[in-house]
Amino acid sequence: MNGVHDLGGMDGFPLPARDQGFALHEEWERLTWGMLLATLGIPGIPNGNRRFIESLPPARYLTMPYYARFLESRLKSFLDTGLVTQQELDNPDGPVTMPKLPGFAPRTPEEIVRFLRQEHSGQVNVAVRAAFAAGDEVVVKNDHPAGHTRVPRYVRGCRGVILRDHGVHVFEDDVPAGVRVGPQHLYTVKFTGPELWGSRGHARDRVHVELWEIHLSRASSP
Amino acid sequence: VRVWDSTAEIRYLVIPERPPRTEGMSQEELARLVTRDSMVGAEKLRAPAERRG
Repeated sequence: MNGVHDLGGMDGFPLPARDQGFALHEEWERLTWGMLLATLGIPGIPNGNRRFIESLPPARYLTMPYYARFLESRLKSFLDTGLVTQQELDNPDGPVTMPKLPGFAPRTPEEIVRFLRQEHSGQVNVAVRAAFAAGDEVVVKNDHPAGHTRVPRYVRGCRGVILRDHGVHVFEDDVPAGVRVGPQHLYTVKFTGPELWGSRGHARDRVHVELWEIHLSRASSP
Repeated sequence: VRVWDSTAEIRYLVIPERPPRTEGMSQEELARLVTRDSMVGAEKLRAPAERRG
């Protein structure tokens, strides 16, 4: 969606003072990140939280701490699926009930560590023919989807060159209900400064963006 | 300037360029020179004498 979360190419965002060092300064941030990692991949609990985070009101989104966005989206997911009840949230020292989720079993700390040490990649072992090869000229489709998309606004409609084919990857954009977009080739596309930023772009600057095949069309010869 | 906008699940490891006048420094001393911004490609590591504080 075209939200305030997509800051790429926007002016006037200095690095916040608290973000000058390493992240995770505060205990609640460590706990949130740990909770997020420990609850990834639970059957029946959706992992996708970007649509929710991107739909937060812009003023709230920009002023809330980075990890608060994850905390809120995870809590919503837990409440929606019944992993946690509102009564349990409201009364943290009260009784906790085992969620009635099919196939759910809490992970042990050892299982969480094992999960984190596994290799997690978006690449999948499916044979799909690539429409583009390194060196091909492409144009990014000018789409404005209502859900989450990995296409930054600043590359839409712009012309670039395929730099690398990363093979077949899981498609990460939200798609409308009933639509299925399967795994497909992921490319690094190279753009010049002037193509993206017009007269403010430096001729020698290059921006590389990863885009899925469905985001691209073949450029017509100039 | 070459910018890599990590828009998919592909991640990049930035190895900061070794600053001048660091010959003979131990691994530990070199590690202390490394900054967060140099690891994300937003800053070039300075030689030890040029560093603040």
